[in-house]
Amino acid sequence: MKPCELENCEEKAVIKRGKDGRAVCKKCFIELFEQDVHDTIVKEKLFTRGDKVAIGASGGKDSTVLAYVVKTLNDKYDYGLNIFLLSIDEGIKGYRDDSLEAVEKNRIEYGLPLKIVSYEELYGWTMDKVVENIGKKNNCTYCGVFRRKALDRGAELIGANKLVTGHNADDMAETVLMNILRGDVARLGRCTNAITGDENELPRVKPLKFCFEKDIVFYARLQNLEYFYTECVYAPNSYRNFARNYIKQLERLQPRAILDLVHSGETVAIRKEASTQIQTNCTRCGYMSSQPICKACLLLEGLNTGNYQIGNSSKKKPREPTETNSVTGENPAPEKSTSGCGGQCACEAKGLSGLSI
Amino acid sequence: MDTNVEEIMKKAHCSGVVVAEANGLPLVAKGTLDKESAPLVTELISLAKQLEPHNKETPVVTVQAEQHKTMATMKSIDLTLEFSGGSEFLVDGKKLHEVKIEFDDSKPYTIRRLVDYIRQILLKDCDRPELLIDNGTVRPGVLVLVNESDWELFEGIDTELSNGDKVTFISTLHGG
Repeated sequence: MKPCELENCEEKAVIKRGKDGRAVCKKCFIELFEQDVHDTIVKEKLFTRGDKVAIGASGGKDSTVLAYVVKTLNDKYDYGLNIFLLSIDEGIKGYRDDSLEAVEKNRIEYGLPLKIVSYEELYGWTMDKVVENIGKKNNCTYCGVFRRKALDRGAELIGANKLVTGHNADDMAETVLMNILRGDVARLGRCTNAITGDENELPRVKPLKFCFEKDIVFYARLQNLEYFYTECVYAPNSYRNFARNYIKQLERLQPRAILDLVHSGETVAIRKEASTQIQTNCTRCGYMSSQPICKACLLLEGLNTGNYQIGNSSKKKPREPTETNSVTGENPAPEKSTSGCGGQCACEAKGLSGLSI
Repeated sequence: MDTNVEEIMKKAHCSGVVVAEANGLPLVAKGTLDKESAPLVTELISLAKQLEPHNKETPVVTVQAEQHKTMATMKSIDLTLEFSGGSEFLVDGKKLHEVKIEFDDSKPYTIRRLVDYIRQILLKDCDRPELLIDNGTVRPGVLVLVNESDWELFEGIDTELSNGDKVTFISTLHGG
């Protein structure tokens, strides 16, 4: 039996923490985990007294732990937050309807009000209907784009001024890696921020940003938090899965790898010319967009007219090699990525999704 | 294993020992017994087990002859296996499995050997066994607990197991 590594503790260690490799007992583990989240909240100034926050709740492990910890810390440190649970019903039979039951349990157990918004009421389409029409090929793009906007709309309905999502350190590391692989420089520059969201969008905050998935799962087990898990019944996001598996294998060799990748994402300097992306508002729905019409509206137009190419062009122009002006060192602005999920899939809109395998 | 066999040989009246794997492959033979008897002895034990299928004890078969008697037995370990976080869907959707595993005790029973058993027996009808066991080890992203403690506190895949231990597999690979 290994004793807890913390000073003045003689309890039996039950876990080697993913984050720092320290062997600690149950009580110390729970304290350290909550302390980590509290530190992130304080250091990154995630909340202000009086904030009305919507926690993106999918019923999965991350959002279940997130809701529990944020509520616990709000009581313990008196953040003065007004907390709501926000769930998105994508309309996937046998998947989301089950997980919404898990959220319903959280609502009762944590005593937090719950708001559910559905794709059907927002867009007139359920994911089941979308898949019926377009097949299983690109459906994750629709789901991801729709979810991001639905979270914003849901938070608006609640009157929340912040959206809280359950992104953890493993998710961040995956996203950094994916953005590098895709050459998505603009996203690489901001994907590790603890607070994201552009001017016209609700700020999104990620209190679990430095929490390892291993520690989150252990926390849920030690606190007897029930969560929902299953794969989405539709096609898995294979690109993200590749990054995910790769990082999990790295973690086995060297757990630090996860924090190192997040650190790389945080500290990499993006040249101004490369990251500029002009944000405007969608001329149809008013939602923030980098194009005159936002992606969600384009995808919807495609669904409603039966022309599924709209907003979904799979032909991405091959990237020209970037020429560096040898005199000024400046680059011409790279063309913007428009293909596939473009990073708007589960990677950014998680917290309600599943990073399904 | 050789030292174990030597010790048994030293016991009074013992004239021969043969050690075999659960499916009859001979490992060691000493004294009057030769390796060719291994499959026969293993088969005898399996048949004896079928006499009382509900009895979890491993039978000891004794063959009495005029001059001597032959005894046959097998080593086994009782374990509780728990599958959670989505990994239960890979093993018949059942979270708890009480198993009795027969093994050759020439070396300690480790998680590595348990993993082999799980792959061959519990994941027999699973179409995606690699979600739990990949490359002879537990897939990265699946947490392993021995009696509710992180296997990383012990020897990981080489952690030795004892009778009555509980081993838990929690998948973090299934989204929510």
